[in-house]
Amino acid sequence: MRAALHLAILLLLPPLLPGIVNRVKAAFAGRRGPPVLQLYFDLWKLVRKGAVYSTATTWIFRAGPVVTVAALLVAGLLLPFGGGLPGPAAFAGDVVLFAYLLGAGRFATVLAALDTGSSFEGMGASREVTFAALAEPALFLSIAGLALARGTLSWTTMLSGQMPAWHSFGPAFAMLIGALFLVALAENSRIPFDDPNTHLELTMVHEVMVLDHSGPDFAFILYGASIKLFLLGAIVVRLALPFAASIPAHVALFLAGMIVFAVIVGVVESTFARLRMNRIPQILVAAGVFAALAMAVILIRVNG
Amino acid sequence: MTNVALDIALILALLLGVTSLGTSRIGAAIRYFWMQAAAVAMVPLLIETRSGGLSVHAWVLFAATMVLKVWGVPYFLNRSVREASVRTEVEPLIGFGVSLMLGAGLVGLSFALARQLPLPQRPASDLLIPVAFSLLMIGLLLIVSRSKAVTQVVGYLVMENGIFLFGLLLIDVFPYLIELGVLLDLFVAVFVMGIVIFHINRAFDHIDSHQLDTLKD
Amino acid sequence: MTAMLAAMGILAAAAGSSALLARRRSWSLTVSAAGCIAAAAVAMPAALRVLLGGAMQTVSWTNPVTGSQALVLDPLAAWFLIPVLFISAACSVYGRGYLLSADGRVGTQAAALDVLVLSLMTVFLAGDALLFLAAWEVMTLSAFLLLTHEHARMEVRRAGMLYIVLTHAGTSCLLAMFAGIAAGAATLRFVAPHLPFATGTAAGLFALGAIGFGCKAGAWPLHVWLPAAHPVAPSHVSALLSGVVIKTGIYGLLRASLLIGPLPMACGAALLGIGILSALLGVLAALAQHELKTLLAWHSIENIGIILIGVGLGSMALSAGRPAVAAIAFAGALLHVVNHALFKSLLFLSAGAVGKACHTLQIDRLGGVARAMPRTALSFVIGAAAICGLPPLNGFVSEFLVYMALLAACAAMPVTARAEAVLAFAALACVGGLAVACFAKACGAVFLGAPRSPQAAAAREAPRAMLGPMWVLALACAALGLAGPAIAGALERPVRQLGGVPLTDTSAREGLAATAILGGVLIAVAFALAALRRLLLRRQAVSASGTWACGYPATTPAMQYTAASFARPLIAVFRGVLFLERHDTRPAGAFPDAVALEEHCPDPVDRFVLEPALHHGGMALALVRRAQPTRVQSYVLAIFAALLALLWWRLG
Repeated sequence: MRAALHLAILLLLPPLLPGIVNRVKAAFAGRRGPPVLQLYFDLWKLVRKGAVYSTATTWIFRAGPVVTVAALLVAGLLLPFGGGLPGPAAFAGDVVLFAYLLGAGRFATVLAALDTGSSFEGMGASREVTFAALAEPALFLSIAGLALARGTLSWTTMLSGQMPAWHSFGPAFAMLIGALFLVALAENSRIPFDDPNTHLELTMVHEVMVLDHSGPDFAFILYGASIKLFLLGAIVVRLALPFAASIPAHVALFLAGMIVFAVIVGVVESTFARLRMNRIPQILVAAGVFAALAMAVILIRVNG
Repeated sequence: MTNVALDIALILALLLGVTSLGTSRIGAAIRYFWMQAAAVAMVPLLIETRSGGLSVHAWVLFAATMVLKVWGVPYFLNRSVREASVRTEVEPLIGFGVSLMLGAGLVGLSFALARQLPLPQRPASDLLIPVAFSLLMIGLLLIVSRSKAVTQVVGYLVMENGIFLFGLLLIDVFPYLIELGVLLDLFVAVFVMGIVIFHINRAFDHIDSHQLDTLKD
Repeated sequence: MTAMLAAMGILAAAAGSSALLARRRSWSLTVSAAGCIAAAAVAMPAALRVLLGGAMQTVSWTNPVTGSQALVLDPLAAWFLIPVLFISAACSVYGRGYLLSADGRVGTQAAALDVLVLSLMTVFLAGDALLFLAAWEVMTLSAFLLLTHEHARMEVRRAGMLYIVLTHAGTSCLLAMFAGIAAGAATLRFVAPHLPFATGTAAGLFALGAIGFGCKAGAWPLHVWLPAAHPVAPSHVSALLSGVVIKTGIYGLLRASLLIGPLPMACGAALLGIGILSALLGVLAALAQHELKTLLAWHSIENIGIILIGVGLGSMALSAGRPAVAAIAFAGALLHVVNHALFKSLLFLSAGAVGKACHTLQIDRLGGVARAMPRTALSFVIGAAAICGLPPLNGFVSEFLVYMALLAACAAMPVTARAEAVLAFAALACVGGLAVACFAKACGAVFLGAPRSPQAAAAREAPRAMLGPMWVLALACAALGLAGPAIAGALERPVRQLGGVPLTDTSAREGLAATAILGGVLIAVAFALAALRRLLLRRQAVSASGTWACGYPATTPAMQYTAASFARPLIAVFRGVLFLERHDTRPAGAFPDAVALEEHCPDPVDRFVLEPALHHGGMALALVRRAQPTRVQSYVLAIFAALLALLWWRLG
C-alpha cells in the first residue's frame, strides 16, 4: 500500500514541478503563463507522435532516453517521500547507488547527444559532464555529513525524524541544505547554471543535448528531467522538514514542501541572472566548500 | 703412498701455475695449463683411492676433465693463437720477473689465509686448500698483468683449476653439481672467448685487449 | 595443488612448443592460446575450491642451497589467480586473431605469452621469497618481450627501456624488503616472524615494499613507465599488462603486509594518500589524452588508486583495531582488482579492434565507428560504463564497497583517520564524475557522430576470433554486477586472511544483495521502457534525416565537437595540476596563413622530475665516466683487491 502510494507519487507528480516553476516565473514577469499541467499536455502530445532520427545516429541514440528514465525511476525507489513513505527499495548504502544511478542516466544522455555528431550537442554534453563532475564532491560530502550525523547510510533513515539531530547539528544542516540546493539546480541545469528557456544560445547545457530527440523519445527526456528535479528537490525538502506526524499529514507536508521548493526555484530563476560559463565551476566548488564545512562541524560534534 | 701421490699432484699443479707467470711465450703458457689440468684431474681419483674404492663418479669427473681441459680447451686456444698469429706476450703490464715474485708472495699469502679458513669438513690433504687458493690468485694475477687476450684466457683457466680444487672439498655433499656446472661454464667461456678473439683479430688486426678501451661508452 | 602443477606444466609445454613452431605462425599461436585455455580450465576449478572453503594446499621441498621452498595455494592467491587465468585465456584467443591479421614474426609473442602466464601463476603461488622473486623477474622479462613486439618503432623501444629500468629499480627495493623480512623470520619461507618487528622496522620494510610494488602497480608518482608502455604493446598484451600484470603489485603489497605483521597507522595513511593522488591525477591525465590506449593506460593508474584507497584504509583500520571496517575495505579493494581486470582488458581489446580496423587510435581522427563496428562499440560502451562504476555493472559493486568502507571509517576511526577518509570519499566522488566525463569523451569521439577521417570511414567489424573474447569479458562484467551475494561469499576467506575477520558488516552484505537486485530491476525497467517506446512508435511514422541541431544543415564531419574540445572545460578548471602546454601560430596580417593550435598535458612526473633527473644525471655522470678505467685489467684488479681485502677481513 505504502509502496503503491510511493510509486504513484514518483510516476505521476514530477511533471507538476516545472509547471509550478513556470507559473512563478510568469507571475514575476507579469504574465499569466502556461497552465500548471502544461508538461502533462506536452507529454501526451509527444507520445502520440512519430519520430525523426538523424542518419548519423545508432542504437545508442535510441537507448539514451530509455536508460536515463529507467535509472531515474530506480533512483526514485531509494528516496523517502515523507516519514511514513520510506523508499520501497531502501537499504544501507543506497545513498551511493542513488548518486551513481544519476551518473548512469547522465552517461546515457550524453552518449545519445554525441551520437548526433552535431557540434551544438557535443558542446552541451561537454558542459553537462564538466558541471556534473564538479558537483559530485558537493553531493558526496553532503551525503557523508548526513551519514555521519545520523549514523546511517540510507536516505530513508537519514531523512526522517531528524528533529533531535537538528538541535545538535543545526548550522551544519543549514549549510548542507544550501549545498544540496545548489547541486539540485546544477544537476537540473536551472538558473544560475543554465537557462532552460533559451534555445540556440551558446550557454546552454541540458537543452542543447536533446535537440535531435523527437516524439516518444523526447517525451521520455522531458519526463526524466522532471523526475530528476523532483528527486533532488525531495532530498532538500525532506532535510528541511524534520517534523514527524501521521502518514497522511506526512505526505501532505512533503507535497507542500515540494511545491514550496518549486516556488523557490521559480523565484531564483526570476531574480537571478544566468552566470557566465567560467563562473559556474566556482559556484560548484563553493557548494563543495559549504558541504566540507558542514562535514567539519559534524566531525567535531560527533567526536565530542 | 697415495698421500704422497696426492701431494705430488698438488705441488705439481702449483709449480706449473707459478711457472706460467714467468713465460713470455703463449704456446708455453697453454702447455703449462694443460699439464696443470692433468695434474688437477688426477686429484679426485687420488682422494678416492686413499679412502678405499673408486666410484664411477670420480672416473666420470676424471674423464670429463681430461677431455675438456687437457684436450678440448688447449685445442681451441692453440687454434685461435694460430689464426690470430700471435706467438709471444710482447709487452705485459707487469714484467715477468716482477709477476713471478708477486706470484710467490701470493702463494705465501694463500698458505697463510688457508689456515684460517673455516671448513665444513677436514680436507683430504692439508695442501688442497692452500693450492686451490694459490691457483686462484695466480690466475687473477695473470689476468691483471697480461695484455694479450689469449694469455688472459689462460689466467682465467688457471683460476678455474683452483675453483675445481675447492669444489673437491664438497665432493661428498654435492656429488656432481659444482664440477659439472663449472666444466660446462668453462667450455662455453672458452668457446666464446675463441670466437671473440677471432673477431677482435679480424676487426682490429691484432688481439691486444687495449683496443677494447675504445668501446667504453 | 596437482591441478596447479598440471596447469603450470601445460603452460611450460605450450611455451616450448609454440617457440619450436615459430615458423608456422598459425600453429604457433594456436598452441599458445590452447595452452592458456587448458591451463585456465585445469587450474580455475582448483582455485575456486580453495576460495569457497577447500583446504589450503601446499607443496614444499628443500633445496640444499636455498633451504625450504614451497608453492602455496591459499585464498588470497586463489582470488588473484582466477582473473589471471580467465583473462589470459581470453586475451590469448584474441591475440591469435590480432597477430594473424598482420605480418611479422609471432613465435616470441606466442611463447612469451605462455611464459608470462606461467610466471604470473608462480608469483601468486610462491611460498617463499626466492621463488617469488625469480617468478617476478621472469614475469618482468616476458612482459618486456611481449610489449616490445613492434621494436622497430622508436617509442616502443623507449617505453620498453623505461619499463625495464623502473621495474628493476622497484625490484631492488623488493630484494631489500624480503631480505629484511627473512632476517626477522629466519627463513625465506613466507611465514610470520618469530617476534613482531619493531614499529620503525616494520614501517621501513613496508616503505620498501610500497616503492617496489607501487612501481609495478603504477601508483603515482612511480607510474611513469605505465602510460608509455601500455599503449605501444599489441592490444591483447596491453590488456594483460593493464588488467593483470599491474595487479601483482597489489598482491605483493598485501602479501608483504601479511608478512611484516602489525603496521603503524602512518603506513596505511600514506597508502591511502597515494591512492587518492593516483586516482585523481590518473583520471585527470586521462582526460587530457588524445590517444585511446594512452587514455586507457592512465585510467589504470586511476583504478590502482581506487584499489590503494581500499588497501590503505584496510591497513589503517587494522592499526586502529577496527577489523570489521578493514574487512569492508579489503573486500572492496580485492573486488576492484578483479573488476578492473575484467573491464580494463575488455576496453583494451575493443580499442585494439578499432585500431586494427582504422589504423589509428588518435581519438580526433576517429568518429562514427559504431556504425561499421556495432558489436565492438557495444562492448566498449559496456566496458566504459563498468569502469565509470555505473550500475548495474561490476565496477559499481566494488566502488560501492570502498564507499561503504570509507563511510564506516568516518564513523569509527580516530579523528585524523576520519578526516582522511572524508577526503578520500570526496576525491572518489570527483574521480567518478571525471571518469564519466572521460569515457563520454572517448566513446563519443571514437564511436559516435560522423567519421573524421577516411580511415575511420573505412572501418570494418572485427573478426569473430577477436569479438568472441570481448563478449566473454563483457558478459563477465555484467554477471559480476548482478552477483552481489555470491561475491560476498567468495570474498569471505581472502578477506579473513587479510583482516582477521570475515565480512561481518551486515550493511555491506545487505548492500551487495540490494545492489544486485536493483541492478536487475534497472535492467527490467529499461527493457520495459524500451518495449513501451517500440509500442508507441509502431503506428507512427518514423523517418530518417540529417542531424537537425536547430536547423544548421551545412555541417561537415570536421565541424563536430572534438574530443579535445569536449575535455577542454574540465582541463581548464584543473590546469593547475595538469600543466597544459600550448603551441600555436596565431593569425597575423590581413590575409593570415594557415594557423595551428596544439595543446598537450605532459606527465608532470616525467617532464619535471624524470627528464631533468636523467639529463642532469647524465651530465654529472659524464665526469665520472671520464674517470672510468679503460683497461679490462683494471677491473679484474679491482675484483682481485676486493677479494683479498675480504679474505683479510674475515681470516687475517
